[in-house]
Amino acid sequence: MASSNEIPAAAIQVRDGAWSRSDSGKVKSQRGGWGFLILPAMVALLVVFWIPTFQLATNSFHRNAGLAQVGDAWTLENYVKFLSDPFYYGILLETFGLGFVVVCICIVIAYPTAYFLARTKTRWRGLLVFLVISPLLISVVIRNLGWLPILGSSGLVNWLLMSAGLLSSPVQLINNYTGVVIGLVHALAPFMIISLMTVIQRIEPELEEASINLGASPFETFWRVVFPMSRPGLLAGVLLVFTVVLSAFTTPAMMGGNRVLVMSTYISQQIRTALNYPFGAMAAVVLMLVTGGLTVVALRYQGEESK
Amino acid sequence: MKGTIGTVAGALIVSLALSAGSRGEEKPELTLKVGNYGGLFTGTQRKYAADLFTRRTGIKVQYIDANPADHLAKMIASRGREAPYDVVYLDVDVQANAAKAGVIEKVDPGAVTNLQFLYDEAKNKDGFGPGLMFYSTGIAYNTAKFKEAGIPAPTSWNDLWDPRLAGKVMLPDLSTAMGRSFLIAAARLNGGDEKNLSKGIEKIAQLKYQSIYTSTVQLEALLPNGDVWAAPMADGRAWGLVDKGAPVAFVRPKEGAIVEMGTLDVVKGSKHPKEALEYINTVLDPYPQLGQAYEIPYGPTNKLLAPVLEHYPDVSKKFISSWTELKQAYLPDWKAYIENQDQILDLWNRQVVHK
Amino acid sequence: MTCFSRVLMRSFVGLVFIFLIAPLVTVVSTSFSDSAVLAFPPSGFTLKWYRSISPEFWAALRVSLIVSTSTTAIAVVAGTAASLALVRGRFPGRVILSAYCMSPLMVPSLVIGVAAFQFASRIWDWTGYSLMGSMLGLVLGQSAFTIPFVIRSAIAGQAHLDRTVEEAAMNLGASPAQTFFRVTLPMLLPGVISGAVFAFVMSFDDVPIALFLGGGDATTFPVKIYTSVEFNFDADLMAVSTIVVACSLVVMTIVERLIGIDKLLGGARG
Repeated sequence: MASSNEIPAAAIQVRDGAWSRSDSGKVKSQRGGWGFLILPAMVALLVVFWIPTFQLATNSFHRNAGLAQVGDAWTLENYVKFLSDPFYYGILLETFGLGFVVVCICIVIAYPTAYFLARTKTRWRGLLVFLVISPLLISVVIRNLGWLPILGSSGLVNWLLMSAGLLSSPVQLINNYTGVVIGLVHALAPFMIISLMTVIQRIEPELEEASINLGASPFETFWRVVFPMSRPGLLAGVLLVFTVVLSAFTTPAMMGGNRVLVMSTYISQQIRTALNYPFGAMAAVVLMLVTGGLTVVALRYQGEESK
Repeated sequence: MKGTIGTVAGALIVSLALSAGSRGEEKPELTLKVGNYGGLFTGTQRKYAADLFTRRTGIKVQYIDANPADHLAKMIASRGREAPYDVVYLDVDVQANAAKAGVIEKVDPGAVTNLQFLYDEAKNKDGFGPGLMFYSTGIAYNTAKFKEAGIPAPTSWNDLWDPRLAGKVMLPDLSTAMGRSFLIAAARLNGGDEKNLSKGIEKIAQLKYQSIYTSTVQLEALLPNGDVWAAPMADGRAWGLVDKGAPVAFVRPKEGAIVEMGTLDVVKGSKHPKEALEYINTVLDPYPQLGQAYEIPYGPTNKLLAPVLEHYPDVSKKFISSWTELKQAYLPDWKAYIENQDQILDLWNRQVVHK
Repeated sequence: MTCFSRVLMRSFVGLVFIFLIAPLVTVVSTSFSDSAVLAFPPSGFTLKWYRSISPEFWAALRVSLIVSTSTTAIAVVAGTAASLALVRGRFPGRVILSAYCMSPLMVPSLVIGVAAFQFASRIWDWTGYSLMGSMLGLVLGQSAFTIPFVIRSAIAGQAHLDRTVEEAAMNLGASPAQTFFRVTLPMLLPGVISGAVFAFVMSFDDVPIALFLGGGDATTFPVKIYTSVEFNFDADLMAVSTIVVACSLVVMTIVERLIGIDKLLGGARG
């Protein structure tokens, strides 16, 4: 970095009087050239993203001409079929439902944890925050792998419940919807926790103390002081978690055993097993539009909140 | 017994000597690309077929492992261009799809001389690649749990619908060979067959299953300890569990076990069709067929081995090893099966798959 | 807060932490266990799984490292340049181009994978060159999200960049090139590095794109585990995963000391 002593004087000079000169004089060549720097990324993204996505959309408007082949005629039938048949748009609704369930559970888990991390004075705080974040940097495949010995029929949970006499035969916790919910909650709770934690940290503790002093119970304090003021963080977290659940592929595929049909596993089935490219393409476009739309809403919201 | 072994061994040695002497190292450094299933199967094929082939011809064999559906997708995608493999192992119904899509070649009986020694059922009626192994889908069940619950051993496919088994049966996914076979079995129970599979879906929808397996590994984890009590399963894998000492038994239902085959096909566009046919012929030779039958175990399609296997009932009971057993089983018409496979997958998604 | 509610909350939070760490603990403990891979509690202590890790896993790790490094390198170069253009450039359509560059982040990587797969088929039809099952194909496919990642992070990193320092440097006689390399670039570095680290992690972790575009020789580590769970499940999976977890933890601690992970997560997505 530029050394500290010479620069301030020159900087003051520049700042106070020399703007117009720097605008037109020495710096102009610097200013003019910036635009072209976008070209490498532009070309790269054109080739690796925009053209393929356009082609995917095109494929969705054709008929399935047999295995792994796209027909020639243009048609809307894929979309019509999807939007008119309750089974198909039901998959989309199922996916929304899954998102809703995961979000709710994440909220319940995240609030106390975030509150604790935001308010605690323990010297272990840094380590605890690290513990919350560290699962995120471990591959999601490995994390789901770790759930198998816990949730399996001969795994930890069933062993505990049966040893305690609460169950007589193992309950199915994996390779089904429950497994997918557990896997997604585990993957996404940290985001919610951090999102809430940052926002709760900004609430002055004095407000809560005042509320307690005035006779409110801890629950009332939470509901009337903490919760309203943490709403931005909550909504940001909710939108983030919900969007990720919609787009998630690996966790539903691994924890649901390819039997939980949400949009992403359905698309995968159509492309890899049924080899029905146009229909799979259509479902992919629908998913893309839905998640894209949600993300735009989320960004708008974030943008407003930060003002 | 000794006499038979002696004869067979002698025949094998003679055939090996003849083949080793005749071809030799005349081919230049060539590698034959073969698409295979992966795992134990590829290992066995390398041991018994590929090494033999390389010794005879000097041509190396490179196995490329993937699911049959992935192989099919690759072949279709490369139509008209360079083929991704020269030979490919395909499940018999995937083969039907491949033939329909025009990505595999018919085989020349003049080059694949072993065709004459195969069971008729192993030969493809349209002249495409032959089957190299039989496996049948029947019922595997946990003997300990059945005894505890006082349920008699199953004898019919219908026994899977027994109310006492509700929530204890594991279904194979439609994407597996066992799943397809079970669907056909269910259809036949309900007055349909491979041309009328929706009857099978209807029937399966009535089964209160515990879960669905997409790979036999998953069933193998749950059947021995009784988390699952019964399931449609491939004979070779079921016997694998029995051999490991699990309280499992395998039964061929009286309506007929459903027989599937693994087939060997020449990929259209291969640059080495002659060598590909030679490889296929090698896999059908007695020695590789015997090795595969012993290790996997799946039934060999080469009739020559039948008398040998008769003398080893401990080994041959595990798979279809004779013409009589073949006749008792049901061999579906796979071309008819694939006619409506899209609709069937759709129906399966709607009626069978649920949380 | 009353004593009771405090205890209650602490217990609940404790359970949450256990929940978060549980799978990692099982992976590690199962890798040393003698009993069947899915059974709990683990019994016996053995290193046999570590000794029998299939060589295919090492090959897959190697593929993952090569692919992720390459795509991150591309992303850093293209992304830093683009971020400069978007922040400093004054050209028409800047807003649209900004959306153009960052929209891929809104698209699920499964969709990107499917699109790339179908596009690669088309390219094969037109040119006879197959990108499927090749590392190049994976690098290109993953660039669709690594480039936008770095762009976003680099732009965020420039939010508080003090341009006056650059002006001052120029006033003191530095050429535009010198100013760029000795003043601007170092100031950009934190944003670029945090974007690069995240891009690398997301690329390494990616399953959908690597699953659709890869295969055969171009099988990445997560895809190898994913397919092994279905077809070839043995505890050596846990052993190799433990090794990767250990390495990740080491790297994470280093990054945490150097940069601070909170900042990395600032603008991140799942």
